[in-house]
Amino acid sequence: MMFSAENLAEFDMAMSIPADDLNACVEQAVLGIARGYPDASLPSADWVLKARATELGIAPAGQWSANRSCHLMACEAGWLAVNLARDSDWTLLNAWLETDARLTNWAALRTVLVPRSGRDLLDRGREMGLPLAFVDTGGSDADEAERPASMMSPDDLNTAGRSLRGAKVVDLSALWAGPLCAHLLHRCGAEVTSVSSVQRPDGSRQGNPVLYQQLRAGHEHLVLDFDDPAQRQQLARLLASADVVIEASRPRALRQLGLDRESLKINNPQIWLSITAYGRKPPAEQWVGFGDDVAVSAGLLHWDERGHPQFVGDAIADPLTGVYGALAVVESLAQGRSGLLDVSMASIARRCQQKILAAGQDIVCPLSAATSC
Amino acid sequence: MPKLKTGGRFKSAVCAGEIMVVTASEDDVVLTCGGADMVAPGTEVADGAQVHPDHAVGIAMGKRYISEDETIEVLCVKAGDGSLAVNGQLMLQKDTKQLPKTD
Repeated sequence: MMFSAENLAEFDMAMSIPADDLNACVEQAVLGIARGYPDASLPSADWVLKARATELGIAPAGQWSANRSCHLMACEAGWLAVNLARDSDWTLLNAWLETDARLTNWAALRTVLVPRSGRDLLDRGREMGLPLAFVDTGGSDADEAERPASMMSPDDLNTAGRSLRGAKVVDLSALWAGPLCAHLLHRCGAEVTSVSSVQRPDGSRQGNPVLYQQLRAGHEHLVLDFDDPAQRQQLARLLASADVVIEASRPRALRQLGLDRESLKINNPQIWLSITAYGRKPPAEQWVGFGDDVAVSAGLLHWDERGHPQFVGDAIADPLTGVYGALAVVESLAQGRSGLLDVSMASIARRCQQKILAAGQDIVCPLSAATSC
Repeated sequence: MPKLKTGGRFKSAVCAGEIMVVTASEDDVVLTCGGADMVAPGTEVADGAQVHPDHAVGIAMGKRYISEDETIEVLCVKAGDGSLAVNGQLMLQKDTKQLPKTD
């Protein structure tokens, strides 16, 4: 049985009330956390949304994401956001587009995309594991419109309300959303262990070293070889004993390692926060997404006077998911709940878009005008 | 079997596996999965055909496989029990995709 987010009253309220802008969206989540932890030193909305852009001196420019790895391109019936964050993504373009044309730069890619059907390319590319999003200007609504922002499947281990003070949090996630969530839980008094794998180091350690360190300040660090059965066993024990687990992988990844909730047979009250791009249901559980492309899929965009979509913020779905993910954990614990908390970046971005539209506002970039947003 | 073309899709005749061609080669090659020639996606395949025991490590969704001479590369879009081979030589799995520096 799946319970909707309505059972997480604080969370649902914060997700539903109108907000004038993205800063207000973040402030509302942080306020929700502060209600349970009035003594915690929680970050400003400015820091949440801008820490990385400030560190790197970046801002989005029109159809380019702040980090320039994601680009919105016109195609038949709409706009396609293509996020080529990894070199290996470039090598899939010919297979994706079924062409032998040389696709070594964005201009070449743009030319090929213009006459093609965005919807077809989205489906085919997603199946290939490309981080893509499609904005349909033909009027059909985004995929994520009807989904709740979080789903909780409760275990039968409900307890009295629990606190984060002294709680053990194990964070398996990388990049931004999951580590930001872990950081916020730490500020509320949790003891966080950040786990990384030898096989797949977190690229953001080099990409944004200052934020990387800030997000992990005060955490224990554990680097494990996931190919080593003894170390996998060590991790299994750690996960089983945690009060909160944070992970941001596709469901199949932990399943293959035998480190998913079912394999671990958790028998203590625990919140397992699963952060995905598009949720845990097939086929969306297989789709890859990062902060900028997921925001596009959720319609969290600015439309300019020519009717062209523009990116807002820096990987905006990441920091939004970090703060609302943390609020969902705080609220679940306070209610004595246990189980899987299924939070998708797309649903959080979508709900934030709706909050701003509900306030009668346009969606605008939260980075200051001085940074040519 | 039909010539490999960049972006072309094939399915296994003996397991659930499906692939997409990432890099094709000019040469005529025989691409097999589970020891049997791969076929175009819509093709009917006989029931009861089995994965050859020497070609039974399996393929995993999202993984890329490359021929020993590195001229042919494919992407697995549906997992299967059979292993891929080009002209009888097993293909090798490429390394896991790294995470980006910024997302």
